[in-house]
Amino acid sequence: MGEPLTVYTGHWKAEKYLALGLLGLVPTALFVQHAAIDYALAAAMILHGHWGMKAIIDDYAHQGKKGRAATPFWTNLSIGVSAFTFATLCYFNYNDVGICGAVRLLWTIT
Amino acid sequence: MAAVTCSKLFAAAKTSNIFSQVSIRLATAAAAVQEKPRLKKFSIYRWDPESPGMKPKMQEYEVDLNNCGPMLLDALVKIKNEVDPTLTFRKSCREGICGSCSMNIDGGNTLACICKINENVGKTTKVYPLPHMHVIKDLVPDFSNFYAQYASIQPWLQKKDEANIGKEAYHQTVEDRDKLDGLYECILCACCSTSCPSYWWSADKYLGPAVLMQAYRWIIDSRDEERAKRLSQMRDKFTVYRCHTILNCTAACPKGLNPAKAIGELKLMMNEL
Amino acid sequence: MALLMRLATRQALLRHVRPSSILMKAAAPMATSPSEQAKAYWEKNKELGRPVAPHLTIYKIDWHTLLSGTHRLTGFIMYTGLAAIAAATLIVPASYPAWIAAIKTWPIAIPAIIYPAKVGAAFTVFYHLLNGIRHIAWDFGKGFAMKDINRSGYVAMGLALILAVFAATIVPSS
Repeated sequence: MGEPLTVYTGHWKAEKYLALGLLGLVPTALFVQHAAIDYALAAAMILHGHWGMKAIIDDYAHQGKKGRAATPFWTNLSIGVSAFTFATLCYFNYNDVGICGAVRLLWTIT
Repeated sequence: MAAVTCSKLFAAAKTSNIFSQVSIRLATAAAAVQEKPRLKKFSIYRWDPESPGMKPKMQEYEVDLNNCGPMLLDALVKIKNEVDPTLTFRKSCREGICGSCSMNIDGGNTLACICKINENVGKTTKVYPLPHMHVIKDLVPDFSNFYAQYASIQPWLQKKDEANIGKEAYHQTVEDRDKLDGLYECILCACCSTSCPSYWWSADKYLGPAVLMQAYRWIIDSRDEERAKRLSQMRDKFTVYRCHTILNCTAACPKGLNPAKAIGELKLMMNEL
Repeated sequence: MALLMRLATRQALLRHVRPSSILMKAAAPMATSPSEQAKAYWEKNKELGRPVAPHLTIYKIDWHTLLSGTHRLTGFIMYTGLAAIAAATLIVPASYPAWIAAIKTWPIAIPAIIYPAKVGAAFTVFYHLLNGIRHIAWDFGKGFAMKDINRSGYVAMGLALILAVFAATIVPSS
């Protein structure tokens, strides 16, 4: 049992600090609507969600017949989805009402 | 004279003793005849490696609780003695200290010898082996992986300078010794590890709560000098970090220990490396 | 006297006899490392065709297990929902305010359906946020006692429900 090849400790710390940041950001977004909040929210939500999905993939993807060989496929797929969602959200923030405005408008439906 | 009095007294005592003994015996016999049997159903997981192509199945047994001890192990032993001698399970101390009889009873992992039988005869008690372990036979799982993982954390005192081992006693303050309370009492029954969904999915790479709590036990022992080395060997994605604080482990521990807390402290220590 | 002679002879002989390296190797314990033993476990069990004891289908779902599962589920729902909505914004040509105006004309846009949908969406967000606070507390090493785990769980679930029900009643002025 020697030193492991990849060290995960830094990633773990980053995950927790991001979660703390998002914890402050979401209630702020409910009361303050601004473009900066839209972009910060997009980045923080996508990254937090992406890391959460990575944990889900690392837990479950190897359960099938292919075993641990299946994990890279799902990991790459999630990177693609996250990048796409982030790009689209930035586009939405720039060209359309933005995240805060979108939630607000959605909530007007009764 | 004194001898005669003594012997008369003794005779009187014996007679009255016999009288009370006989009356107790008669009362018990009468009660036994009048008592209805309380038949409790147990549905137990069975698999025989020597029956070719057999699929695991559940077998039902009935036990009269009036003639059985209060713990689930008493019921298992009674079934093995009187009903089905092929029922196979591990047991030893019968007092919750050896960890042999760990199994899944009514959905929760615990020790059969200290698990009180649910006296509601309307319900069937379900008994399974420890979840997601390979089954050797009936309720007996293969612990080799668990033991290999325990060995991999090097569960012994390590000193930097091996030349001085055994020359002096290794003293420890009361405060430092108190830190080991709640950790050293682990009996390695594996109830916690086999209750952890992360351990179910990743038992090949994730060490599980029992082994991680013992890793923590050796790291915080003030007499151990290889803390940095121990911590650095666990820094990859799987060994510790598959723990997502689901907390089944602390809920399952039959000795009332808190593996989740130990793992939490372990993660904090790894941050400081 | 004879005893003394025997002891002396034994001492003298032992001083000269050194255990040979060959003998020591034979006397050494099993050389398999823990990682080799672990590997052997998986191969042996696969070869013997031993069944794996049931797990998800039989393990009891405690209150804290339910909370943990819901946390993961709400996170997964929010993330895939966000990805789906992002994809939709690229496919549907109209701008977002036009969408909302269009949805308001749909037959399903009645309070009996919209209100529970809002409660569900708000609960997903609030529950994940509040349970996230519990997770952050654990990550800082706090709140691991069993009764703290249960109590904080009740607070998270209860508060999330209350906030969701309340938030669903809010109609912002467009």
